[in-house]
Amino acid sequence: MTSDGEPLELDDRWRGLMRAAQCGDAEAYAELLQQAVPWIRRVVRRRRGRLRPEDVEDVVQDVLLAVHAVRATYDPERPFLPWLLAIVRHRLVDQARRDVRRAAHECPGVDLDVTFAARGANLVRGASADAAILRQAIAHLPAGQRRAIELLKIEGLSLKEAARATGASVGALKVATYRAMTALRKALANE
Amino acid sequence: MSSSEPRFEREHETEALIRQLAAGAGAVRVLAAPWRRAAMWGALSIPIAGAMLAAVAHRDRLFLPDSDPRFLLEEAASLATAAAAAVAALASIVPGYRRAWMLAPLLPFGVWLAAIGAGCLHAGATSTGIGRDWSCVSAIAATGAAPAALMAAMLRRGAPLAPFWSAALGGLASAALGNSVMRLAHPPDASVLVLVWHVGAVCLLTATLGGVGRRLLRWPAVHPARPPAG
Repeated sequence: MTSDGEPLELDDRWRGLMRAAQCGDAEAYAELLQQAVPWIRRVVRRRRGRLRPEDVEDVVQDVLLAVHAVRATYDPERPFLPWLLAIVRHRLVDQARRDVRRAAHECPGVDLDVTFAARGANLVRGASADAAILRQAIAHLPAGQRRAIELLKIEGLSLKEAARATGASVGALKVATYRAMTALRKALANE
Repeated sequence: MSSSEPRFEREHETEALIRQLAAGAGAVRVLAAPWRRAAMWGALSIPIAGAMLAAVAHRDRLFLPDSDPRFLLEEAASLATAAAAAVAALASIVPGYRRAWMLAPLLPFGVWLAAIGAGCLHAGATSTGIGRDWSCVSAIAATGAAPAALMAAMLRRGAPLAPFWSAALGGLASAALGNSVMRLAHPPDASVLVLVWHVGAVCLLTATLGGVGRRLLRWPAVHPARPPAG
């Protein structure tokens, strides 16, 4: 058994697949990642039991990208699982750090169970009219900014996913989103 | 929408990502063991540092550690600090290596400080004074610059699991090497000067590199390829 309680046989098998992958065997690489994903999911759930399933999958994908980025650091003479586990641990810590940062910058929405009495809150032009104005404002954005808003704010993709979908860098997407939000804020203030 | 649906979809995404990664995965050159890479770093850095010494100090004013055992110990400990810090830095970017490796330079660093301290006590008031030798700081920085740049390039090929510590250890390795070489420009009884200016310079460079570690060492960007059709 390895230090994480996994059988040595598993380590040997993955070590062999990784060795082949480092030599350019794409099939061995795909097989290794496919076999490793359930193991990674299990480790993530065990260590961060309160993560939502979609967040678990975010970490799993993050780990796969990290494994791919630094696969040259794996020495085939050494056990594979401690190498993989160190990456999983690091990405989990990074994810926790991101969560803390996000929590510090976001305000939780408050569900009010009463309707405001003020006249302005009870105009006939309600949510549907506001949505139409917003849709119109989004439609008037430049193409790059519109795409960033659609992917990140409407479809709810992460920056990394949106970057994959558009081919743009994460930095470029952040800038496009910032500019789009500023433009939308201006447009809506004029309504 | 049932609660299992988004999870199912995300797992499909993961499978698609695997296909993309595998499609773009060519052969890679496996990094050599940290001690081998550290030896390679030393083999390239020592001649560069030696050339810097030759450029800033007169040949007839070099003090070679041939007579004073304390001087010899000081030099050996400083070089051992550089070697241990280089191995530790290069091990810290390999997932799965024991974190305890990062403590490896502590022992030679302690011996180095002790040797300088003993030199200060032995020489006492007769030693070469502290002076305002900012030139030591700049000389160590200049001598350590090329080894530090080389170390940074080597560290960037790994996984930035602890970027602050990796960069700080790389800085310590480079500065300790710079110190070992530049120490030859001072007489053996200059322990007080060395304690203040050389140890100060080594600590300053270590902290400076550690400070930029997070910006210097990042996870390499991955651009998944499109999987082949069919």
